[in-house]
Amino acid sequence: MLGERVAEQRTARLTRTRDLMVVMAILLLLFLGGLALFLLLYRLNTAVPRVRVPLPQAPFVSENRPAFEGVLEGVRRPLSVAVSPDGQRIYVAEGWGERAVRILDASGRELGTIAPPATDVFDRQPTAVAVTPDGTVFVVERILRRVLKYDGNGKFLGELMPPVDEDWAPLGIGVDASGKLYVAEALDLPDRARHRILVFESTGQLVSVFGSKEDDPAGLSFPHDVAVDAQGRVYVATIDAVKVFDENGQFLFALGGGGEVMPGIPWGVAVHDDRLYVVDLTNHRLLGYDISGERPTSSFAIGGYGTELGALRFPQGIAVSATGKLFIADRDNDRIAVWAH
Amino acid sequence: MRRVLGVALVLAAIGTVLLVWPSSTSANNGPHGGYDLATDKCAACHRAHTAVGDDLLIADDVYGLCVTCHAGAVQTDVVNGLRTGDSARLNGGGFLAVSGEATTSTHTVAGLPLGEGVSTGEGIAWGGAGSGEGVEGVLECTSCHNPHGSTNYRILKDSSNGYPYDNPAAHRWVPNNAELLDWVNQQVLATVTDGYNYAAGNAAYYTTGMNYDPGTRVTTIDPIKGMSAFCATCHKQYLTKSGSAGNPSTDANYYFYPGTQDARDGALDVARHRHVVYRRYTGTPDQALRFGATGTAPANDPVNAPSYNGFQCLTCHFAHGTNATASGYAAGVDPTNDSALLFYDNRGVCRSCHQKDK
Repeated sequence: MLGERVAEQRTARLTRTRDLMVVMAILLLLFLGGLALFLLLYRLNTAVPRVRVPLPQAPFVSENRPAFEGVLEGVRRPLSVAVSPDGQRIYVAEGWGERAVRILDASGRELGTIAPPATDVFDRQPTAVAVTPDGTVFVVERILRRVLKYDGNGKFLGELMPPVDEDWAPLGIGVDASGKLYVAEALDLPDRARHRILVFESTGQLVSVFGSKEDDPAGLSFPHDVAVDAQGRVYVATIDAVKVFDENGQFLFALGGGGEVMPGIPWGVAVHDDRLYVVDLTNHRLLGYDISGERPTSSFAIGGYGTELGALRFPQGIAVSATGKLFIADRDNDRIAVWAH
Repeated sequence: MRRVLGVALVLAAIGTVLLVWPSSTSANNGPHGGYDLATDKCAACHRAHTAVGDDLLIADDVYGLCVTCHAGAVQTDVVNGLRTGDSARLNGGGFLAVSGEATTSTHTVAGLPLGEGVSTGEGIAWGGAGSGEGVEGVLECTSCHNPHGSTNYRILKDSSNGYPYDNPAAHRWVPNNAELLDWVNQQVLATVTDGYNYAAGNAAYYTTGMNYDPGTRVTTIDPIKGMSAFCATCHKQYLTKSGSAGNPSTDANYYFYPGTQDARDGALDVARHRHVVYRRYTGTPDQALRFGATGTAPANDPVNAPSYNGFQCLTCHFAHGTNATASGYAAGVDPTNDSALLFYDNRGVCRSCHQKDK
């Protein structure tokens, strides 16, 4: 009896040991399988660069390069610039000093200033200015979180209202040839974030909204300027690239990544005829692209870091007149650089 | 047996899913973190062959580079001293404005527009030596901030002016879960975890030097850590310990910073006693002064909640700039002859706690 009981106990112990070994073996196999899968995924994740749409690495075509014409001085830390349809008025949003929008004539003589009613210098911060084909001026006031409307002389006309009764955080603005307004909104708070483009009719009616901060090629991270070409393509400058969308807000491709022909941190964008201009802020230059085809091709680069004439220091905004004259907000040189084709 | 096998399989499946779950790089850190082996973020600020500034920077003006984004474009607007989007006041104040008013004193970093000119950043960190004047040097944004990120939401550096402000041997301030990358072989070598967990579980520690132990539910103070120790890497005299010459206090927590001699000994040309920092404050100030990093204790520490009111430099001072004014007795008071980055006009910060009229 005793022998049988001992044998049973031994058998039971062996069975438990065997079961335990089976469980351990299964766990080990699953762990090793998981580890292999993890290493495979990790390798794939790190070996493949993030999606970028490459442009042909064409050398710059020197004959396309605009010529330096001069500078307009007397502004402090210009952030954005716009030009009237007749090219006779230049509107400059200042980041320091009075922090108003200065109205200059073509020679740089000051004609007046634009500032929100009942504000002082520390209440306001114009970050973007745009002029519609009829000469109406729109100014994005970042601290006030408003888009204000003025006539060409700076008379206050009203404001562009957000789509619903909510706080919004406009940062940039662009206008297309028909007068539609493209407001770049960048709101990034712990409890809510909106990185998007809102399209308005010139009358102020909201037409469409597109974009978000998704971590994918179409994602908009702090969009801050917008331009639209004749094909209806919308060029949105973000922190990491110019994201290009079709007229329906569908993502097409991106221009970014630095190097010889791509912007590092793009800021101002503008379109004139078949040319796209991108201010490459962190490379202190302006890049030009030919956009007559399906994809842009690089055309020229001007600028370079420095204080001498023709050089740029942290340029931000750009505007192009109807005749193709370029106005670049040369921020840290406290001036507007003027170039022309 | 079947039950055991079932449980094992479920556990194994959960473990496997957790193991292979793809870890994504945060998109919210901009160029200040979230680097992976194929990162392109370096190019936001650096060039390998065409740099024009130190450290391969794309500009010789650090301030200009920083305010490209931090002047209204992104959440932290250090020029206007507010959080973009809801206009909440920044803890550090602003270089041009605070609460919609002009600054009256700032840390004049190099590149900061001043009047018609631009600051060179050259200056003296007051309180840095026995005679009152201190460390001389060029102040830049990167004197205090690490643009490559840290666990601190202010991305403050783990050392300043060449001095680590905590104990480098034992508790070096390293990014939580920072990846050590082998760039040549394209491998992640290890993951470093900061034992003190500055980032999440004990946010007060890196700012106040107060360390909450959830096990014992006791908060201790470590005076050589935290925000005030950080400031004292340039304003060095404030690191003088209790018990030094002329210090009448024997309270270990009463971190009292005397000069090399006491004011009462007749040597009037030396620095005086310094206001205590790292002192726990349990009252309610008249005006909203900042104490600990969070101002509130963790939910599981109701007993020690008041101890999170750790008194430190940033309780009274802004780091970037202030709109406070100084007049009357407060005007012209050395060492700075100005509003000294204080929160409130004149010495409103004193009255906030020392409520002599009540």
